[in-house]
Amino acid sequence: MKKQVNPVITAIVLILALGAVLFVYTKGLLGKKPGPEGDMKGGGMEGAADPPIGLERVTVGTLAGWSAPGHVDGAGWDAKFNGPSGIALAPDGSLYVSDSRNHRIRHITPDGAVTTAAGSGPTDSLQGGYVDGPAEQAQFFSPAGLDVRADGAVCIADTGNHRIRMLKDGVVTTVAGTSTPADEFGIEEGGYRDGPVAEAVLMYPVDVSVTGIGALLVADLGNHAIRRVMNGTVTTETTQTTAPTGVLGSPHELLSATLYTGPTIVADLEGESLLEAVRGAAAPISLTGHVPTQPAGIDRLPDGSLIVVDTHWHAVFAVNASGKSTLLAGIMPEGGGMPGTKDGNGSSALFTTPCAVVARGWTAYVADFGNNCIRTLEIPPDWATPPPTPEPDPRWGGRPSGGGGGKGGKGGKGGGGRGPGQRPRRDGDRSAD
Amino acid sequence: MATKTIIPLILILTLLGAVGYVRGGRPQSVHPTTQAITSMIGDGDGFAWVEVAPPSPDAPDAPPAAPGGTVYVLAKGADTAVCLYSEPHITDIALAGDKVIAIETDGTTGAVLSIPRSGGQPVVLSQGLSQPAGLAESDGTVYWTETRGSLTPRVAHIPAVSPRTTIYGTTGGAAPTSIAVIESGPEGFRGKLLGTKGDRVYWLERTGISGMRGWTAIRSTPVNRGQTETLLTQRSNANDAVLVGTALHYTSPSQDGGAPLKYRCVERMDITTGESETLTDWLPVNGELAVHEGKVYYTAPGGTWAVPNELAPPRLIGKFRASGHELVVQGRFLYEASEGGIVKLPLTLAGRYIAALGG
Repeated sequence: MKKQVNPVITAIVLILALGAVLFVYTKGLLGKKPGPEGDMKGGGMEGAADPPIGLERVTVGTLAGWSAPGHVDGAGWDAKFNGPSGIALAPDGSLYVSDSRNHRIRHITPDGAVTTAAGSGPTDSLQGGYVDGPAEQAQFFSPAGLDVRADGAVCIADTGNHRIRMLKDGVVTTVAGTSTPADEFGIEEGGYRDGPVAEAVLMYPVDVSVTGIGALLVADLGNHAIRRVMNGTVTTETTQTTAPTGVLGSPHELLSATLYTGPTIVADLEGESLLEAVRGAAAPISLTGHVPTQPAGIDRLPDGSLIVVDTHWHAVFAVNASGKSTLLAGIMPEGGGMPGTKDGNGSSALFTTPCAVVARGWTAYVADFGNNCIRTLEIPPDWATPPPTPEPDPRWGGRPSGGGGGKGGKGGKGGGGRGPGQRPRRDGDRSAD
Repeated sequence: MATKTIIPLILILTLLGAVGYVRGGRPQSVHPTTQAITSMIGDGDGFAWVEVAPPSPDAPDAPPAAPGGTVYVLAKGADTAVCLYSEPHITDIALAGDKVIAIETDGTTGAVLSIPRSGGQPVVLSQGLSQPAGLAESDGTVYWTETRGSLTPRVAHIPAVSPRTTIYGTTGGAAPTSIAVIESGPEGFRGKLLGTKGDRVYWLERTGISGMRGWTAIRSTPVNRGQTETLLTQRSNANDAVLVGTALHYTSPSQDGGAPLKYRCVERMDITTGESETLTDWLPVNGELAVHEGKVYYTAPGGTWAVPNELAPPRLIGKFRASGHELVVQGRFLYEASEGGIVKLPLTLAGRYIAALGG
């Protein structure tokens, strides 16, 4: 005879079991210590064992390109870059980008339309070429830093060719540098020689900066020097940098009584410091706070602060006149940087080897080398003012309510960047491995 | 009466069969050793591997003075392995007919050697090489890579300043020729040479930061130098590829609506037409592709799967620890490098019974 099971007892047992599970689950959640999200304050503030994070008030977005490398002209995310390693602002508000592995100079309108401004030959390769002439026939070899003169001429550090090139009125010319011995593949070695621009020799120039007096400063990485191109001659500004990767002519140089005494800011990668080089003498700026350790690109914000991108921390910093460094965007976990691909606010956005930056007002544009795209940072003018500390919410064990921020946390949704539902998910949005 | 005889007989045979099946499914030691086994490769004549001395028990964390190990071979049908080359700094090997091609290096400089498989003195094919790696043999030509360091190792964003890897080839008689120069990382060449087809050499490059922060690209260039072409670029540098005839098999991240997932699929591209098709999906990450007797296998920590010839689920052939370089499939058996040496595992029902009978 089959034994009957009382349905009421069965229901009671099930309800009790469910209640027990819910009790344990909620107890576990409520009793849990606040996680990293809750402890992150933003702005590179010290938090017990939590990594410093960027400012929630900074908004990070993507202007053009996204993740997968390639050479495609188009609008916004439809465009593709392959290792953008330099960026400059033109007088009309558009941008020029050195597309290093494509050996091209790209042009981006303010609304994100990307075209190829100069360059031809192979793409997606180590080796480029060296050809002067019409922009569509010219060839470059791993162009890096660039700057734009007031007349619209684009000056380009053509790193692999050891030359400084110029794109003006649709024609590419060589501004400084000459040929040097080459290997079996035709790759030149570079060298060092001051003198007339057609005879001067450079070695892996990686950045240029147009000064107010018409000179061109060159970060000559291979020679560990800052070179100056002016009046048809190349001279050596300083050799006291160990690995200059960025150079920024001071806006005060034109006002300087002596042409060559203007301060020059050098992003010195190996020296792990920002140097203030004053003709023949270099002294490190003593930075405090969360500081960049491998600065690769620099520019100035409207308040005179420096904005610095760092390839070690995969992050963006701001340094004020007194040397106080603040993490604007990115995360600085113990032991090294946190690369990634994420828009959002400064406390959750991630970069991969950001290497060049240019500011237009309070909008900064970053060449995100590892993510093959151009990122934007909207920086509030009062970025240096600490945000008010939110009142703790007793319901959540003292965690401030709302906001949150933190890596991959809810804070990422609050920041601008690309809005949900506007575009489908792109590759790279998720870190699968 | 007949029923009374037949049923017990069937039961006994079934029991014996089950015992034989279970017994034959166990790993059988082929070459016991306490040393670590790397670079295990095989062909129709047997297989070869490199044995690396384990760390000293007195200083288990101390780095070895120089990388590499010694070369062993086990000929097909032979019972015992033979130490082919006792110098302890071989880092990579390739089989080329009756020779084993090897890279010997102290970690910085090295040489490419050709060692007779039957024993004897090695012939130096090239020496004084900088960070040699990526050894491959194809159609009688030996290929390898050399990497020369960057001007400033910490500059990671300017390709022209990055370390450069050069692909070389030699037929043995003539001086090596440089074939292509590619961008590399400070740790040297992280990819692998896939071989040649027609007049082009194919290789896989891994760039960028680990995992999904990096990229895998498969490229080719004429063996006599020329324009390099990119066949494909995959998200993540934890991908692999093998070239079987004109069929390029490669792994790429599985996708969900265009977003990469933490799984791998295997695809096949006809390099003459450029057309690709997916063969299988949902494999674990961090695996490698291997070719044995013309068949493609995917090996990852935890298992080895046979890659189907057309779209189908992956077929798990064994839960082994080995990765692609540490196993060889020959006939009915899979030879795997385990902690105690090389063991043999039957892949088929017949193989299990043969193994149970001591075959």
